[in-house]
Amino acid sequence: MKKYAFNEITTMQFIFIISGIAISYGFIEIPSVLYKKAGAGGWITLILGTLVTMAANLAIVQLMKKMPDGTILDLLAKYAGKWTARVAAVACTAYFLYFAYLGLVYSTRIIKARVLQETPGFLIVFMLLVPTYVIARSGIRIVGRYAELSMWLSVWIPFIFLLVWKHLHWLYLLPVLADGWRPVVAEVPSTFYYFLGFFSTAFLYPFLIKKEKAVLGVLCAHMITLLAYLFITILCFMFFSPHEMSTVNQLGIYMLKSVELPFLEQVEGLFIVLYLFIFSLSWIPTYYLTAFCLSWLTGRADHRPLMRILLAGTVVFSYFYLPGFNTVYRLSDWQAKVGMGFEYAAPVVLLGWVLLRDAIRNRGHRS
Amino acid sequence: MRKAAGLLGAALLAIIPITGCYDRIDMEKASLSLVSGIDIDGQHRAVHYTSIPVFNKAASRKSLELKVVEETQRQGRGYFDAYTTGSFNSRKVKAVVVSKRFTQEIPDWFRYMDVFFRDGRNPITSRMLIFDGPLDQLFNFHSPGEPILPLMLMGMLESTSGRSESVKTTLQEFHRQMNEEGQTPALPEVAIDQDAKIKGTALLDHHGRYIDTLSTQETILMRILQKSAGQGINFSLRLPPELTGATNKEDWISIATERVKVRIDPSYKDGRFRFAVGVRISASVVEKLSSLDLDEFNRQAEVACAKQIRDKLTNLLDKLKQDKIDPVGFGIYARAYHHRAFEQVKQNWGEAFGRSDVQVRVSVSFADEGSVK
Repeated sequence: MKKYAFNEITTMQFIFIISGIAISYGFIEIPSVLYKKAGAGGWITLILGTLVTMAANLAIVQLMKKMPDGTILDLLAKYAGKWTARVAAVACTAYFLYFAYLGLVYSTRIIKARVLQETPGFLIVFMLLVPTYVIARSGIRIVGRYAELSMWLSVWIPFIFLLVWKHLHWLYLLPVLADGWRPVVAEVPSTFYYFLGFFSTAFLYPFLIKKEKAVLGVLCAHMITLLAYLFITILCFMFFSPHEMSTVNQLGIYMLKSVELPFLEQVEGLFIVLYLFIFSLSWIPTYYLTAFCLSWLTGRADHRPLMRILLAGTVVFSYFYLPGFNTVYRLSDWQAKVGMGFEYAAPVVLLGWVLLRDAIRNRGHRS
Repeated sequence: MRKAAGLLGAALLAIIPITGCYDRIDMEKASLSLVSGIDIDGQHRAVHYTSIPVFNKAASRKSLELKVVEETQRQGRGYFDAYTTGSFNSRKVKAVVVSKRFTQEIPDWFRYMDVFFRDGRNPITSRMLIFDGPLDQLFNFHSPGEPILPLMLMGMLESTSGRSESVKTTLQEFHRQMNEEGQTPALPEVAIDQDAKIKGTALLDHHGRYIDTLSTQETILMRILQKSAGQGINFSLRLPPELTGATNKEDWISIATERVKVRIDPSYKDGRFRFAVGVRISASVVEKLSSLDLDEFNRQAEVACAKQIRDKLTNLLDKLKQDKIDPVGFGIYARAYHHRAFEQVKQNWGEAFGRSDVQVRVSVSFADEGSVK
């Protein structure tokens, strides 16, 4: 029985949803984090972090192979009983909602600080959520198509960043290991936050048409994330003097401000507006997954009414309260901690448990 | 029919957020400040200047210059608003001028520039300039032959920095230099002497204090060392009399560079940094006053030119070492290759640079001796 037929996604869409959720605002934030924690050798930390993330994500794929036609919630229901699955569904709902809300608020804050300073925040939230509803109400296939489109539409980004070429100082990349290998290796976990979102694999897997390509897809997705991060990180390391790295917020945007074109002023303003395609990948798929978990929990087939409530609730809430930048950073520290347990540790533990259980059961069958 | 009505309703709803553009401003209602200046008055207070172009046909002057005494740049904005016809706006500032006295008397004056970096909509590509004299002089200066102040400043900067005779320091570049332990900032210096002109490059120390000025010729040499010099730099040099056999008025030779390669090798020994600077120039001869036969004495002429350029570079470096400032950025090399040694002196790199040993080697080769013998 195929529960999720007629709503399948291609491998390409699978790749772009996973890397899109990760890249979104990590692209803006990761250079300064890496420099602060690991110095000029931060890009090595990044590569190590990617390898760990790939391993963690492959664990999720292995886990999902046990239940090719259902999500992780169905898998839990089968292995651990209905109530465990329900608890997990509540946890997933909360997690994805938190994820989506944070991405949305971060983007709103950036727009408000750089482009629309005098426009009230809740109006920006409202304007961002209208297209979100249009896309997310139609199911995972449309979300996948949107992710793919957004990524292709953003291929220009590396080129516009290369306009800062003449401001680069190659010597800033040296010495790579000023304080030895220790910080470079020890700070690997601090990169994990910027890869979060690959837990969605556990929900996307049943929708995937070619399941045998899931492993390849996961590797490709993290490769894309890594390349994007490496590009912006190394560029920032060369652009900013070491002391500047810790005094400037949102390095990538600041960097674009130094670009002068004869026909265009404020390149960074245009960049932010067009980059919304990527930003939006941090909340559109996650809002969808929130609604998906909720509808699984309530046993409804149609997730649209729930989606409406969620989005309207967010706008109304934003009217009364919109977190400031510092609150956003504090909230994301929280998310980093929760996410590490949720996305890196839990699936591995679960996989171990499932494998162990199957092994014991098989032995029981044989004897 | 109902579907059409629904669509129409949705379209109307979609119009609501469009009115949400609280940030729009009409050109007619804006007073765009193109030059921003900051100086210090007799009572040690910060004085803010601005120059606003006037787009009114009836106006007899093409620009409006204003001055207020206020603690911060942003506070000054409110007062500028009171003077201007439109809402005062500094998002299009093209040039930021500080007076020499301001940099000397206000410690760490760079904090006055904070508003340009903190406010996300202000530009950081504006040019920074230093003015030799009170800013009153510059902002009230109306040369009949010159365009309005911003255009005049930008034009002078473009032409001189294009020929490497001045530096082009944007706010962003200045921010980097101020936040760089291994380099001291350098700004183009403007002075009024008959007419406004670029005097050269003002060199500041790590705290932004004015220290010294480089002439336009010295600036060229500095930019060669920075590896930021453009192409086609002209040098007029003298050949030694024993080579030309001419009197001292006829021994000139002018060359235009084709390619300049600079190599800086840092080393560290006995608590002192050493920098071996190698400059390789290939140039074409564009002018020669003596009757020296370049075919025959090519090598000798090249060596003579190299020696002259070397002397000029050595003089420049001695001057910088004496002033204890490093606008070239030798400290960046020191940090990259001798990190541990640099860490010990990074609090005051200028001092350490003053004690360092810089060796210069120059080689010149003529690529082309021109179309006449």
